[in-house]
Amino acid sequence: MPELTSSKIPVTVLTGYLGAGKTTLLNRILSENHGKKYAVIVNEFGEIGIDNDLIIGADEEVFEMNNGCICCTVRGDLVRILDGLMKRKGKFDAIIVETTGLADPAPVAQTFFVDEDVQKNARLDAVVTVADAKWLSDRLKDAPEAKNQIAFADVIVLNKTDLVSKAELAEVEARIRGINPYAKLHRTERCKVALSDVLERGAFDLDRILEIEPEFLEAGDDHHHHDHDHHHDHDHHDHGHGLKHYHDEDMQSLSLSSDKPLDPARFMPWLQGLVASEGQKILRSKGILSFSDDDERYVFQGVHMMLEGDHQRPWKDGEPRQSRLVFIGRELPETLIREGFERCIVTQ
Amino acid sequence: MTDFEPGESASIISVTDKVRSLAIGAPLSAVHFLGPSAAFVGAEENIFVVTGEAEPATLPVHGGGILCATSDGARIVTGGDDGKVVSLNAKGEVSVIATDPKRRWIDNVALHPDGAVAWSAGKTAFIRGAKDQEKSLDVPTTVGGLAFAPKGLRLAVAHYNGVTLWFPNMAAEPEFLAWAGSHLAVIFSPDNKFLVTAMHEPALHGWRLADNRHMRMTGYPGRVRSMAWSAGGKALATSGADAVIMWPFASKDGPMGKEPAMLAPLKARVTAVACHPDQAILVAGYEDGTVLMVRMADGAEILVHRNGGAAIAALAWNAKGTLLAFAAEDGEAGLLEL
Repeated sequence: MPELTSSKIPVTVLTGYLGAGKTTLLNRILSENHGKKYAVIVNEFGEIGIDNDLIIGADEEVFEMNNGCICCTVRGDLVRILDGLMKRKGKFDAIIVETTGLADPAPVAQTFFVDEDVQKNARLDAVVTVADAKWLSDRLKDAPEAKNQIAFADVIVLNKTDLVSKAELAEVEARIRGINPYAKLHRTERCKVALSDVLERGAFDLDRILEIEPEFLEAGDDHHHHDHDHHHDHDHHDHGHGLKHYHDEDMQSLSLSSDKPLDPARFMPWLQGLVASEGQKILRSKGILSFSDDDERYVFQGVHMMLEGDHQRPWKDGEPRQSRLVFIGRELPETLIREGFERCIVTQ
Repeated sequence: MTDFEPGESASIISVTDKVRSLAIGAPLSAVHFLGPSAAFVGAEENIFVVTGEAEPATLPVHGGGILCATSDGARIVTGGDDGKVVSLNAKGEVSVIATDPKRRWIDNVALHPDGAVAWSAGKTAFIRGAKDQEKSLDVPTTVGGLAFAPKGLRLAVAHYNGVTLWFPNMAAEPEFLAWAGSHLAVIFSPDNKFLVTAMHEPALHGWRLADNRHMRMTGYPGRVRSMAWSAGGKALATSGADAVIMWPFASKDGPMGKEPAMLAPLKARVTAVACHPDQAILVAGYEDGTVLMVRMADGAEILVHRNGGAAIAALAWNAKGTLLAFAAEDGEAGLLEL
């Protein structure tokens, strides 16, 4: 049944490796004159200076669900805290969850997929990752957590850009895009970013899965966005515009598309089977789908093995009925995914 | 209870016109009887006490959300997000039992018949005995629930991957009952033979304490948030499904290998249950605001409160079983004299 998402409290997850500037961003959000009240869930309670009425210390307890899937994890502490916070409805407008620098964002996100009570009262708005322009490239090499946080992000705040040269900045951005070309990226000094760029993003709102186009090369490379067909091989090594492209060794994104409709009787079992068998590798997935004999767009999104999807709205007149899917993950079995997807395309 | 014999026809007998409805005006989370008074525990700050025909009296107990509440009939003990453990007695006197030095949330409270109080903050369970000595026990993860055994001074501390049974007055190591997953609410059976937890998954887990044999009670569509023993402890009534699920505990094997009874099915989830203290009658509250009195023997129902309101947060009988109170999440409440 369709539910009004507006009555649910939006939850923003703030991640980022140690020292990237999460607390700076958090304090910026809290201190700005926006007239909104936030409940803030932090992990280093009492050790950092955050000025807020509602601040809750969390223990980051990652619990496995009893369903035999080792990537099906939730934040047990978050379930409890959100439950308690709901007793104070009306005292705050939104919730911000700050994770530790070493945290994997997946259990936080999955909490919103798995827990019925959490779902009833709150909605995940976006995963915002703060990255240190000077040190991120190094961390991507030696810290898998940092890579996870970039791969998982809906919004990346690339901070401390004043501490690097233009060339270094281009380098680190290219490395980010090698992992996650879909997140909104903002370059900042001292996390100075418009709050509307990090809050109320609706990144997990099925109704707002509109732009799953890659965002890379937003500077002077507009033509690139329109070049998609299902044979697009996502090979960005050289497009002749002088910017370097990186393929991260183990974390990458994969996009698929088709102008021909998909057969839902083949696609749904395929997608479910794919995340069931490869879900540990797939961090995030989303898609806008055109099914045969169906005049409505179908949208889905997922975190590891968890999927949610629904019909979104009728296709508009003249709107190209194109299906597009995106997977971000580690060592994605590209050939397997591509071939499986091809078999779901209706060929009259 | 002769006035409320259910009829035989399909049309349900209603006592809605005999209910004294109370507009508390604040979201509610629990209700308990203190002697003759019904005490409606708010979701935050206050307890609203209704005595006789008087209007509800507002008693401030916490400077924030009220996260948990329990009662032994003589007092209500609550834990708040202000880090305080507070007690309210039948005279309306409020006293602070403990204040967490770090102002951590008090997630759980429990009361022992001899006067001992237990509470938890984070991974630590605390106990204050009748003689005021305080002890604490750390468990590996955040405490999900607390319960005193009906006999002796023994505290069950539910947490991730099991339950720790702590004997605060003994030097022995606490006993650990392992079962994978996150255990929240925990209760002992009145005869002290079984221990049952409500898990984060929609399931109950139980142990037969004589041999720690496991009992899995599954099949719920939603998490079980309310559990109540029938008079005499022969069955455990639970919320979490579109009917009251009653697990049989009369035999020495408990519900092992048996099907539960399903009473009072509606097209709405049961959110709260409470069993009559003497008779084989229970009351069930639903997510759509319905309250039904149910005879356990045959499932006959009497309508106490119509649907159309907020979810029922809590239900309570007074000690004699002559008064029934219900509290909806949005502050609608009612009292029924039987």
